[in-house]
Amino acid sequence: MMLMVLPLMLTKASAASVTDVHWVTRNDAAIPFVRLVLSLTNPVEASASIEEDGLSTTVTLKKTTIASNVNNNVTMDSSIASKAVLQKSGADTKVIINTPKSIDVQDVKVFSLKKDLVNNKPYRMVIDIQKKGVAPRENYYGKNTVVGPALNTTASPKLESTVKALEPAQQVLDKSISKDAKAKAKAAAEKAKKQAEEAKKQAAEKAKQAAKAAAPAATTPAVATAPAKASAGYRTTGGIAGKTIVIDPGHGGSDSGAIGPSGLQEKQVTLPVSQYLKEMLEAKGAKVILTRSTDVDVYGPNASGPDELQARVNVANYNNADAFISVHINSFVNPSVAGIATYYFDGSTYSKRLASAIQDEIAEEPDFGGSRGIQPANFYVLRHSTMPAVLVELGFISNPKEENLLKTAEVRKDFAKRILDGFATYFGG
Amino acid sequence: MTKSLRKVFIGAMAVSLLALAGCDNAQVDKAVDSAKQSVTTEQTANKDAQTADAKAAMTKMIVYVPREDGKGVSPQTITVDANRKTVKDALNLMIESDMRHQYPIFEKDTKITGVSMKGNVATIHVTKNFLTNGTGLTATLRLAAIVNTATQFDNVKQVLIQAEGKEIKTYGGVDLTQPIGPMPDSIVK
Repeated sequence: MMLMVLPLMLTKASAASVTDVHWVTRNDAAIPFVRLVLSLTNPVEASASIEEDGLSTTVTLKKTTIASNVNNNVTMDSSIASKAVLQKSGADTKVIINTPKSIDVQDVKVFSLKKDLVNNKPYRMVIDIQKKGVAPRENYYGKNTVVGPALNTTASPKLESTVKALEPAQQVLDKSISKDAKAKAKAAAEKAKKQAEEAKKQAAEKAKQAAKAAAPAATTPAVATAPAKASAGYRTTGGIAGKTIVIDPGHGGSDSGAIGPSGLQEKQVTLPVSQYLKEMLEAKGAKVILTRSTDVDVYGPNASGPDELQARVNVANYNNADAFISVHINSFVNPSVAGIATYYFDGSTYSKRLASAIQDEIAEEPDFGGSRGIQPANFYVLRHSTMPAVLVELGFISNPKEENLLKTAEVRKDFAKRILDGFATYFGG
Repeated sequence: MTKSLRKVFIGAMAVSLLALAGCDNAQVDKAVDSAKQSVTTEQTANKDAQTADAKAAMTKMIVYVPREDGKGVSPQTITVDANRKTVKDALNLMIESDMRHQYPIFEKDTKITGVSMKGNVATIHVTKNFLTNGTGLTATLRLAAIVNTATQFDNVKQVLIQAEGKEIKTYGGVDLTQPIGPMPDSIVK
């Protein structure tokens, strides 16, 4: 069977060159997938095909060359997409992706990203290959879209949000989906929107009622101080055991975070501290979820700030966590500035209480610059989480002394232990 | 017989170029120079008369300059021509003051290229280098300096920021998806 759709040209594509190739395995989606990102000098026209045996997918970039410094033979994830080869084919460039299992069109998604002047990102072509033969994970908590079929014509409310999320691809999808399917999808989306609005109303009402009923030491207080804080189901007493705690290792993947004078990256510290903390909290009986457990972006490479940060918040909100902590290392232009600080969203009583409990412990870390106190802050992850949430800054990576200390496993473990002690104080029991 | 392939077109597209607003640095420089010049207006031949004229045409405003010790932003009173008492000039003078530090918080050549008002919300237009090294405490103090300086003006209650014509949604992890108000906790007197 052959299905052809005329390519859509938003602008006349001029000759382009592939200047970089990188990839990542995303295990945080409903179905794991490999994302291959090609950096481009100009927008390009692209088409794709899958061989009959389903083991080879070719994306053709029209009028595109390959820069000399680009790795044209990329080894990737052997369980999803093992290899990508870039090769010239006349005036075009072909990207040939090998997969260990036979895939079909539902497993592949291709879309472009505009040049991002704010984040200094070039034009990009993105190819997602889904893992074959795995059922979608039920507790998927990433972005509010499906990582699914690009040409899925099933009427699904999620389809609409996928299209919105992938702005450039939207045009293609609109062209690709039949009118009938689009109508079904639109109707389903409208229905879902109404349902979501109703659910939002109910949640808000629930929070309102909980706020009325909450005693001073209630285990289910309502602190509806931040936008979208509808959930009121978190617990604040009774010890660590049985609590759900989400730990967010700051930055990761395409975002290194701040970089110290000797080259230490913030993400290289936040992840191990978070992993130590996870082990320690679990040993005390808590259920612990990391927003990321490897060096990856949670939403996707080079995502916008709100997308990336909301994906982290979603992990906590969707899991009805009792507490959320985001782990960071501070930085400043003056290398002599040092010390430890904890932030919370202003107006959230329990967040402030948690911030105090943790700051009292971590500020005593030996050889660091001491306490910079707890401070209210309008950090995205704090504002949009629906439970008590704090963001810790474990010293300054820009300070040579503190940077060196942060390189050691002892210091990382000690910070984790001190945060654990802070949680113990906060939850009591 | 030709082998039948399951050829399926998946995606084809080209993206449009973004129209970017240009940065009128020359205009900004002129504005800052004018404000500076006003401070030295008194050094003239006809001292008494011109001093009186200059004083009548001058006014004071407060800008919040980031501190090098990272403890916050500190108020500084600046005297300028009355007709230069604008949010844009105040912010550029604040940045200029910061640049005189050993460790300036703002990147070199950062400029405010314009300020647009919608109700009581001021959208501050900054040059692209504002985005460089916008992490941690550096980012927080840049925002505190801008927001606290801008909201000194009676008609400004909240602030949004645009770089190169594009709205900045988050900055150093701070949520800018909605206008932000004064940051009094960052002020150190």
